Amino acid sequence: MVHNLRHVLAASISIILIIISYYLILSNQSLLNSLNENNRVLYSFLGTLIMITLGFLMGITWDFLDRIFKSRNCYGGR
Amino acid sequence: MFLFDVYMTAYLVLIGFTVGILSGFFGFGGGFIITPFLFTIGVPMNVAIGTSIAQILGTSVIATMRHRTLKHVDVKLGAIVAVGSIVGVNLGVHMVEFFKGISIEALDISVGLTYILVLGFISVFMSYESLRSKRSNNPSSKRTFTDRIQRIRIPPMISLPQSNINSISLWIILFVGFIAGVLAGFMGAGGGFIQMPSLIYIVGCETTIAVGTNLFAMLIAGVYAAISHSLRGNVDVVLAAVMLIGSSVGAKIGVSATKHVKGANLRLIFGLSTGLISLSVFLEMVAKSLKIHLLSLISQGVLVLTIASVAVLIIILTLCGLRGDGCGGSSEDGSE
Repeated sequence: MVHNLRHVLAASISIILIIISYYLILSNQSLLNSLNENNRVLYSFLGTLIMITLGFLMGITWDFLDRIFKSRNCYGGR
Repeated sequence: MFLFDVYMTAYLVLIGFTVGILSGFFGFGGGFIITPFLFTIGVPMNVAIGTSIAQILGTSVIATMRHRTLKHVDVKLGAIVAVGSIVGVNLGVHMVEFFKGISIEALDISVGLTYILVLGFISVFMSYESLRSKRSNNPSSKRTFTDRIQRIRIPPMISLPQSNINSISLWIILFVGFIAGVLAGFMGAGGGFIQMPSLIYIVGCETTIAVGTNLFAMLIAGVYAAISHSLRGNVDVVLAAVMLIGSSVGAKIGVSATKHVKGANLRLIFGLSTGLISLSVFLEMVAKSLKIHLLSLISQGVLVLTIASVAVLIIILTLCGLRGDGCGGSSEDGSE
């Protein structure tokens, strides 16, 4: 039960982090575009970092969600 | 740059979703699917290629993490393949420049023919082998060729315990990565559809390990490719990030489906779908050379139908598998 609560908490935090990341990306679209035109080295590292971070956050979110659903199934939904 | 509306966002998420399903299931990135789709919505070709590579990078991270949880990733093998692949991609890119120097038509024809030959060969070989394997009920029938390859003893020899390979020459693995990289660089795709079968038939991995390891190798090579494309101004990160929402869900479904399908069946589905994609490229080439618009539409129809039907099949497999799953985890490991 405690483990399940931890997983729920971890999944919630990672979902919030994903939402914050998307908010930051979409609200700074013009900054990203200007970086693409003026400083490609920084843009390339930032772009790659964004994709890896988003992928990682989504990956761990799925992992936590899986654990939650697995334990729910095993304990009859309790 | 690129203005977003609801329909456009939904369209991008849907493309990401479909590609994610195929990526998680087969272990390829899906660059040859995303690039034409982005091109059709008005993204310039160079940006479409770069953005699809950035999106593949994100999907590879998600799918690799999922496969790692399922113990389908051989990190050592993946890292060696990636090294060969990075070298090969550079040669492939130079080949593109060479043909472009002759003429654009020469490039189109050579890339098109390579697609048809490589995909056609993979399709025939994998379909034949998986059918034979299913009929004879002998999971090790594909090993004859692999055993011959593993008998080549050029030092240094390495062992890959996770892939159940006792001894194989390092050069063979590097060569596999290199060839996949050359073809990937030349054909403008991630190269997963070449690397995955090579890991099965040449290196001798189990199908599910090959899928996971291939994704890991693509993740390493993807970082390199994404950075080099970004430096040339070919990547729109926002587009790639939006598509990643869909592919995150799709990759999860695709990876889960590998647990519920036997190795021979996975290879058969892969073989048949690459065959249909090869047919689509062939029709497109004929349509271009004879200037028949209808044939071009048929080619696009074949591509879309193939991708959609495979995606639906994978979803059904996942749903069937979920119904049969107990608390003990996967019902079958999807191995041979």
